[in-house]
Amino acid sequence: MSKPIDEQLSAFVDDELPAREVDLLLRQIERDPSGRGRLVRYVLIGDTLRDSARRAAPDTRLADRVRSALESEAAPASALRPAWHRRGWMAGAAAAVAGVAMFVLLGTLPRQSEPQLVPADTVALVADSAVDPVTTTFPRRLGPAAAARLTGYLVAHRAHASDISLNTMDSRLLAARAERASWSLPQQLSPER
Amino acid sequence: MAEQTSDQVLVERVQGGDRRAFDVLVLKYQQRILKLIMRLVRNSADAEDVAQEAFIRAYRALPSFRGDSAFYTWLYRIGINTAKNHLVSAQRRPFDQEFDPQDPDNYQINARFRDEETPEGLALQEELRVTVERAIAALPDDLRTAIMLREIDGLSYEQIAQAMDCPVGTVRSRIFRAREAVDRSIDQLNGVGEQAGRK
Repeated sequence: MSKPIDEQLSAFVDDELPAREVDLLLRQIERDPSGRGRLVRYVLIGDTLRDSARRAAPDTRLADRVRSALESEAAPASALRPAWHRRGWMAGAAAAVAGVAMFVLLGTLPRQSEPQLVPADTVALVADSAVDPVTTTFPRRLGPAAAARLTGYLVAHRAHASDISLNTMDSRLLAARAERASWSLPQQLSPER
Repeated sequence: MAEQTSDQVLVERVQGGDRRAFDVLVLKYQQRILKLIMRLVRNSADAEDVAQEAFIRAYRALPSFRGDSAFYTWLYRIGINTAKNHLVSAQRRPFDQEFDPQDPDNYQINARFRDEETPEGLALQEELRVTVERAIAALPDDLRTAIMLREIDGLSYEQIAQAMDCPVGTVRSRIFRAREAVDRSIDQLNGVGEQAGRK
C-alpha cells in the first residue's frame, strides 16, 4: 500500500479520518489486503503502548515530594499563624499591662541617689532603640527590689507574648541581665530562653 | 458543527448495506472486543466464539443504531451482554454434559484455556512489548511526543496540534510516521521469529 493510504489507515485508527477520505480507504483495503494486516498492527501498537503504561509501577515519588514540600511550608505557617491569631489579643494585653506596670513602678519609686543600675553601654543600646517613652525612661535609677520585680514580670510574661512583642522586650531583658550581674542576685532570675 | 468521525461514516455505510465498511470496523475493534470478552469468560477458545457472536449481533443491530453513543461504546455493550449470556447458558448446562473426566478432549480444552498463560505466549507478548518500547524510544522527539500524546494521553489531533504548536496535518503525519517506524520493528521481529521457527 502507498504511504498516503497507510497514513489514512493511521488516521482511521485514531477516528480522525475525514469523511471524504473514507471511501478511498475502503476501496484501497479491498484492492490491497495488506492494509488489513497493517490496520490491525497499528491498533496493536497502541494497545501495547497503553499496556506498557499500565504495567509501569505506580510511582508516587513526585507526589510524595510535592506533598512533603507543601507540608514543610505549611507546618510553620499553620503552627504560628493560628497561634498568632489566637494569642494576638493576649500579646497585646500583656504588652499593655507591662507598659502600665512600668509606669506605675517608675512613678512610685523614690527619687533618691542610688548607684547606676544599668551599664552605660546597655543603656545606650536601649536608648538607641528608643521607640517608646518607656525605654527612654528606663535609665532612671531603680531599687534592686523594684528592678527585680520588673524583670521577673517581664520574664514571666514572655511566654504569653508574640515574637514581635518579645523582640521589643528583649532589649529590656538584656538590661535586666546586666542588672542581675551587677547585683549578684541569681536567686531571683532565670531569664534564659 | 463537528465533522463526523470516521467510525460514524463507516456505520452509515454499513447501514446503507456496505459490508466492507463493517469489515474495517471489525478489524479496528476485534482485539479490544476479544480482550474484553476474554476477561469476562476467561476461556480463550470460548472468547473467540463469543466475540464473533458479538460482532454478528452488532452487524444485525446496526440498522437500529442511532448514534446516541459512540460506536465503540455501543459495541462494547454488545460484547459485555453477549459474554454474560454465554456465562449464564454455560451455568445452565448439566455437569455431566459439561465435563467428563474420562474424555481426553476435556484435557485438550483445559490446555487451550491456559494458552494465554503459557510461557511461550507470555514470552511473545513480552518480546512485542520490548520491541515497541525500543522503537518508540528510538523515534525523533516530535514523532514520539505526537504518538504518546495520542495513544497514552488520548488527545485528539486538534489537541495535539495545540500542544505541539503545529498544524493538524503535521500531527497526522507525525503519528503515521511513528507507527510506520514501530511497524517496521514488529516486522523485523516477525521475520526473526519465523526464521527461528524454520530452524
